[in-house]
Amino acid sequence: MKIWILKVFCLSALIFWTGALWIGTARAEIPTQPIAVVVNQSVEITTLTPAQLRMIFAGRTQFWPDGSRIRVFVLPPESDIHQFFCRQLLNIYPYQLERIWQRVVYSGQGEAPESINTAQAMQDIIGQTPGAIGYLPAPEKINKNIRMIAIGEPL
Amino acid sequence: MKRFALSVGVLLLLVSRYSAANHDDFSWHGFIAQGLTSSTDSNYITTGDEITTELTEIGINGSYVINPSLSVSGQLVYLDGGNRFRQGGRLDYLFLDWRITRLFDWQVNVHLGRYKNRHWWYSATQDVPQTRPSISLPQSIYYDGNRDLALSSDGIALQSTKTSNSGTWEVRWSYGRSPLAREDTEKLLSPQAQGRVKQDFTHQFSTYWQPQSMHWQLGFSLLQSEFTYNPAARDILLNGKSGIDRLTLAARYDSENWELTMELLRDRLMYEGDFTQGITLDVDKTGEGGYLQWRYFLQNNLTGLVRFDTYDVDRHDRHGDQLVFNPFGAIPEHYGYMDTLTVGMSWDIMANLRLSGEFSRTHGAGRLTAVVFPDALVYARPYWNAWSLQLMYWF
Repeated sequence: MKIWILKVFCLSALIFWTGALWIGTARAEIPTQPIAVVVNQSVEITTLTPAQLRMIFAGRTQFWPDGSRIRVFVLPPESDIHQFFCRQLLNIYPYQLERIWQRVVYSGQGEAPESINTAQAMQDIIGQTPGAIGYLPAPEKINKNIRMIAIGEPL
Repeated sequence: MKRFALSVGVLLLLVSRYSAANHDDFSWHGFIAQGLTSSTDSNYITTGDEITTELTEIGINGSYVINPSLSVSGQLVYLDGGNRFRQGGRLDYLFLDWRITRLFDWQVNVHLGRYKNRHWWYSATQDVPQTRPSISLPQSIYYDGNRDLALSSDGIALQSTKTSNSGTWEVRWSYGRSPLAREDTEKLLSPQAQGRVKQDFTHQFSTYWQPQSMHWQLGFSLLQSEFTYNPAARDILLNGKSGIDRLTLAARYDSENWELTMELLRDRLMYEGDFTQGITLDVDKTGEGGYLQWRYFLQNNLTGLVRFDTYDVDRHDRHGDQLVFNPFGAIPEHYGYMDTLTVGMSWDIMANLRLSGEFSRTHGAGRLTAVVFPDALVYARPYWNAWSLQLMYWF
């Protein structure tokens, strides 16, 4: 490899790093908040492991054990709640999740989750949709058609 | 053409099901992308340094869930990439997806029909612009000359995804063959070959592992493929069998603000056949290459990219010194290797609208030439540039 290629590569990397550090400092911190995973009353599951939850939100698991379709709903990718949900409960960065969705949808392997604008709309649509799963910021009062499920290892 | 028409028919049938069936069981998506592009001092993309709008990618796909075990999916694409590959429509995939297991922790799928190559990082969606890190992918692995050979095949594929609290493990296997156009013979063997190459089979296996932390993903893939040459009535090649064995190692690291991706490959190419005037050709050479790519998420909607890509056509002749003894005539040594440095930027204007731009500087032309018998018919100076700008929309 010619020396000039190495020089251009190093210079480009330096420019990116400098720019990235400068711009990166402007990134807002994601506020921590309790989040609950909720499902439609038709879903019989009461507990999911973190790995199972990730398979569902990544579009890889598409059916509940009884054979009914899983309908996945998420809040907009830029929302703090979605950002926190991905990091805290799925243990992945939101961009990793979007990368998986794009691959699933455009290579014929399934469907990406449907994006819902607000937490209230999320609560409504999960209540109305059999097989639905989504998440809400610490609901104090929830719709009677939905319920929370536990995330952790089965007892 | 008949096959393409049949595929369009099947997809239309899928769409018609949409109006008749439960809408939840049918889904469809698409993308459209248009750009400006040029290569200077090389005819890789454009001839004579001209700037062209021949950077178009359009696709539409549909998926219909028949029951919890079966669904059918298909995608049609129209591609125009200047001189890079054949312009026109393609049936990207059309397969029956059989879900053998429906366990929460372990998914096993069998794909029957025209399945996608899912064995490399970007191969499953190589023709879908918004899923790529850049407008052109690194040529060491995603060689434009054999995209129709590499991206989808007719046959059977199996995919297993097992997840647990120690990580996610994916295993993929496929066996099939790709119908090849006349241009594929030129790209694989030589533009001087008048007959047609037929792929006998392509056999692939890959496995990837991602630990629970989800930062790393590591894997490797194996490919074995064989081809038979059917000569034309008047031809310089009288017969021939060729084979490709490929090993690819892959690694990716995802951080909060950046992503580092690497793929390395070793390709063994073999050809045995008779040439005119009683000469027997026996080619056995191993090419090596790979890329290292770094993407930085400057903001939520702005991503920068730097990539170094390298490929040597023959690991025992990394500087192309032996190309002077090429059976189809001596060619310049810079057709024996190719090193490319790319810088790029992507701006997500809206949630499904993106503008991407990139510039690359290349030394060598090892990926512009036919795989088995190199030639200098695609013009390139030892150092050349390429740039592209593309607006893409998806739904």
